[in-house]
Amino acid sequence: MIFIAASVSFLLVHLAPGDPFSSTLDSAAVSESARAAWRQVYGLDRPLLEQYVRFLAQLARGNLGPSITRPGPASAVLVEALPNTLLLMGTALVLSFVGGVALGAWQASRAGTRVDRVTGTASLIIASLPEFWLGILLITVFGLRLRLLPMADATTLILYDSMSPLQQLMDRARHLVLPALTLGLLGMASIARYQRAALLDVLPLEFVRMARAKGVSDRAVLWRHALRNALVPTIVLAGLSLPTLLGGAVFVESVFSWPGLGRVAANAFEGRDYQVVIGATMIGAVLVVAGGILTDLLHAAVDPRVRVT
Amino acid sequence: MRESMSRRMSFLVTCTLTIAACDGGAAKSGEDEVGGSIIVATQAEPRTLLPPLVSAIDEDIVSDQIFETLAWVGDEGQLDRGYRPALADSWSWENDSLAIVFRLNPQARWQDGKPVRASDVRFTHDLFADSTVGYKDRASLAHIDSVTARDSLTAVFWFDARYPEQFFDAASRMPIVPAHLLANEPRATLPTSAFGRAPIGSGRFRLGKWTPNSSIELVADTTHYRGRAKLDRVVFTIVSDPNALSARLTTGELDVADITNPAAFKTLASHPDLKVRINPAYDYAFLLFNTRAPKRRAAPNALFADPGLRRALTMALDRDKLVRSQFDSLGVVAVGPMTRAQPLADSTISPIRYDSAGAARLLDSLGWTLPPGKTVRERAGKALTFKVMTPSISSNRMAMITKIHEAFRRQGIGMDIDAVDGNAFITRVRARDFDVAFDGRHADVSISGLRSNWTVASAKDAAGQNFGNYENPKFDAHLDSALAARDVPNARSHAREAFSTIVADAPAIWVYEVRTATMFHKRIRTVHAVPTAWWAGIADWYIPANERIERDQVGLRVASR
Repeated sequence: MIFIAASVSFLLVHLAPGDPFSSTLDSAAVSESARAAWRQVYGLDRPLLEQYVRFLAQLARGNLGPSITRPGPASAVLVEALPNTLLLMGTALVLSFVGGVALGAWQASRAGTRVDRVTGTASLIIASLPEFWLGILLITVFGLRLRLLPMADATTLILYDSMSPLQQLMDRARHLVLPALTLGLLGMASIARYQRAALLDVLPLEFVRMARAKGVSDRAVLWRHALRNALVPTIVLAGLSLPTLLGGAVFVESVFSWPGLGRVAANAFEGRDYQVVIGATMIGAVLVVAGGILTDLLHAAVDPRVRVT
Repeated sequence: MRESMSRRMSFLVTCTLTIAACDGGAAKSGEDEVGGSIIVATQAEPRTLLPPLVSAIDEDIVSDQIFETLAWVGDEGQLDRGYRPALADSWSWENDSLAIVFRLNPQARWQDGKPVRASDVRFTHDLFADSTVGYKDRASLAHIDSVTARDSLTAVFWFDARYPEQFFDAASRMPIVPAHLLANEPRATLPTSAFGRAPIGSGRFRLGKWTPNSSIELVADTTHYRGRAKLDRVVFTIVSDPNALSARLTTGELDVADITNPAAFKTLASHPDLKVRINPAYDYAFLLFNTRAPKRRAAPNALFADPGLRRALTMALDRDKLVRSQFDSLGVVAVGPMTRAQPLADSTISPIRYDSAGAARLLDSLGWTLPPGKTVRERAGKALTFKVMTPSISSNRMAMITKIHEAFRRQGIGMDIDAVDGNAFITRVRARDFDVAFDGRHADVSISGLRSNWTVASAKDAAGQNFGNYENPKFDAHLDSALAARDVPNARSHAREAFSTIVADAPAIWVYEVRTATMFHKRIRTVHAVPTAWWAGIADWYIPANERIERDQVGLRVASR
């Protein structure tokens, strides 16, 4: 699958108009001979099939090839940005999963009430918001109006280097809040809706009625018995949301000036940095596969009928 | 999106024009002026800081702090006199005026401690003039025959002709780069050379830290031969979202940023912690007609070879209203392939005015009539429709083209918006693969750049930049005369004729000039900040000790480690 993703992205990015050396409006006056020399250096003057074969040969050796917009290999550009994106995505995933499940269960326990309807409408609205819009909204409220949280970057510029390790940790955490909240709220709203629906399917089942008949409290019935059975579709959703989170990170990272993979990928595509674009696509493919595996593992953990072999 | 540019000349000319007009007047010397840190917003991360390959404004702003030229343009802003010493202490002309001798400041040092030598100047010219390097204004160096080193501190520029911008080209166009660090770099791979990301210059700031995808930190070079910069550090951080930019300026997370959005400008201009500087427009945008068939220069364009149609389309647009509605006070209607800020520009040239009835009559006379029941004009059964290729990366142009679309529709002119990304746009424009392109340019102080954009020679050159294939020898003749003129009135007279000719020919609809507003935090004293290049004097900016905030107190120690 990763090989297919690499091949398809290779083809698509090379078929897009322009190339790395015709990329900017600012450099329109650069001579064609210079551009030709640059293309020759990176083998872009060769037939596409030859470039593809060379790319595959490099890839087989675990080498994506050089970045065209930065010194050094493309993989280094991606590796540099990946930790920030993983931190952002991981935090958002935990927030959306834990928050979504809790909210969905809470709503299910009050199904049909006014509070459930209001919460359901609110989660529907939030789930429908574009990432960048929600990001701007949070910046306006928590950064601009309340001045509680930093609005951009992964650390406080200038001051970070003079902080103690503990202060640096706190600083990173504070900078993470708004971008992670943006991504996490969107996921949380979707998961809550799924979770509520799944619980409402489970609550009328016999084993739940049996538990109630045995005198188990409503709270224990919901959280201990019904929820575990209603988690399966949510777990599938959470696993599959990994690539979606990466897509969302492109916008969120732009709004919050977060130095992560999404931003690198967007810039690389604009600058036609072929190897970085392909590498970012491959990371997306890895996340799809990883999401599937994670889904299977979690499914097995919560459903005793499923065994991982 | 910043428009295309070649800013060095405008930067240098204007950098001294407003010295006396800066807020706070001349900086008082003293210890309380040394220290402090500012955060400057940039739209994109520079690809490289190597001067011959710098092309975007964000690259210019950073690179200009690290590298120096031989001389700065003087207070009068003239290109042929009044220069102030920079790397060169003094200079003299040879008797035949075909050579200029520069004597370097013996104290000048590269930031790695090596002395700046005449061989560096010779190497710099060699690098900028090398066609494989890709310097975007290489054509401007065509009259420099060679550069020689008479001794270690004396560099001589040799010319094959006298011309008004001769001294500027030698003294101020090329920031000097260190030969000992670049001589062995393969030139074809310079765009991704490590030097471009870790440059060593001779400027008053040196690179402290480059955090990829985030920020670039410059720190004061305390050993600089002309005295250290007053600020400890300048951090350039990438802010691509305009809403976040406004919010961060408001809260003091950012100290300096360019604003082009009129609504944001109105809000920020009245903020008590910010002060504003309106920069004159050097960027202009226009709907460029391709007078030849797309990608086939031999054949005339089916629509736009006809100057009558081009004029009618120009008359059909109420550009005043369009520009005012989009830019408010930050934009004005463009007057031609120039901006009003250029010394030789003439805004009194009679434009093709908005006249919807006149446009309708002209279209009728050309055979483009509106059949009953139809919404688009036709001629011999062919509808008057065309596509306007627009770079989606330019929010200004994307917003404007939708307004133009509606204006044309009301006149029975069918126009489709062909929005393409920046890379595709420039590729297709260079290939002349379009009917109409919503192009934009950055004007130099000099009008010499018009040669490569609008002359017959550049139209016939497949690699030339006359992408719309406009040809009029009368325009070429007047432009050549203006550029060769030895006195300003004569140059102005020929420039007026050239501009009048091209405006009447309507090879484009000149849509707008857009000004930027630069916002500064009020604690910063912007000595030497100039309208077209506010970054010109950053090394002389200062923050009074009693107005410093937390980040100003950090000092150089942390920045240097």
